[in-house]
Amino acid sequence: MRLQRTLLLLVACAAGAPAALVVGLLARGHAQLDSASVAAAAGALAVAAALSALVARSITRPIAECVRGALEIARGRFGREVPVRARNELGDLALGFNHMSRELARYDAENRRLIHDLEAGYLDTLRSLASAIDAKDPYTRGHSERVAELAAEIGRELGLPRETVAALVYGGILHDIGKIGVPDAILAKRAALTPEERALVEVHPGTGAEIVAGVEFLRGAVPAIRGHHERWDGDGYPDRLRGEEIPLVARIVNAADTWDACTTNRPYQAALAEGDALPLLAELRGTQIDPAVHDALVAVLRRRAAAARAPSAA
Amino acid sequence: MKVLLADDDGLIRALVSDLLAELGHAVVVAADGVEAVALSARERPDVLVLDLLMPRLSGLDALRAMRAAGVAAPAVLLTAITDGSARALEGAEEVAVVLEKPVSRRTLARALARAAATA
Repeated sequence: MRLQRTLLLLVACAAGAPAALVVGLLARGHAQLDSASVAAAAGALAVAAALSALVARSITRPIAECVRGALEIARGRFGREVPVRARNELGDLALGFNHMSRELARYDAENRRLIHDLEAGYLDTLRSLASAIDAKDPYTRGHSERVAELAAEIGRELGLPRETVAALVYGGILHDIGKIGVPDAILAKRAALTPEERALVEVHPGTGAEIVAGVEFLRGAVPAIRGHHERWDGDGYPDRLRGEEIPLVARIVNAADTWDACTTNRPYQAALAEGDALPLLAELRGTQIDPAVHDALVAVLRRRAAAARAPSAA
Repeated sequence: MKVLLADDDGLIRALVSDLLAELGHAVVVAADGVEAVALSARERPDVLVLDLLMPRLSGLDALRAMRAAGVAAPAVLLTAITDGSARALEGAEEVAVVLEKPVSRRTLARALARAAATA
């Protein structure tokens, strides 16, 4: 009711002032059109106009501010507040508005935190799953984790969107999950594999993709798992895809997998030093590895090397 | 001209894209701001017609993302709110013309002509 009272008062002043002046002049017997009474009437009208403008402004300005605030919230900018200018209903609107805006910002932050926790929980589950695979083969301990990290870095280097980088993390962690179906003796074998053994190993990308296919949030990782042994020149497996036919996530996991395999001990070879592995990687550029992915991987490795040197230099 | 139209309301999309086609323009449509940004990079439209309030990304925020990605096409902001309120929003200075809903063939043609003149 405050606003109503203020409005009533201001409008009454605006409308009543000239009338009161005219009545006053009449009562005093001055009601002729001399210059003094014309000036007084003009003055009174000016006061009335000013008061009317004040009334209009005092109402429209806070409402316009609330409109702007509401539109900002509508476009997703929670937490925007509007100034509280008066202790009346318009002020209450602004106060209520600000509270709502803060609450929305809080809910939004809470939601983001929950999603983050959920994703972190998923990731932990995946890591334990992957470490079960890594444990089958002593040579590959921590391999999945390193491939995931490197694949994600390559993805960021290539400027890929957040969801694709997440698919690279999941795909990297789970790329060898299909090895669960490969006998341990074959995985640890030092000698060359027989054609039958090779065939058993070569089904693991397909098996892995099938294992993961039913999980909705891992859908983006399925192509990375199925395609991580495809080659740029079309000589890979299981689908013998070539070049751009191979999903980008698979090309990236392939490069990260190859790098990690070269630089860690394997049944069939000792780990290469980074300096020796880089020329080998360059040889694979355009034959096994997508040239663009190779270049991004080299950029990531350079950055890592620079970061490793930096603390000792500082 | 090729026009990128973004609005979350399917009826408005259908209506406005029909009008645009009648006016002799090619139309690509997006149902929200994120889609509009992706489409603008691929389709290189001559004019953008963006609804202000859309889910995920508003028209003004989509426009900002497009400008950051180097899309320089002039923008018409399509909105049910009044020109004055829309102009007061952050990012509205990038908008060439504010076009208030409901849209008629005449107001749409005039808005496009004015937007094209600023390009």
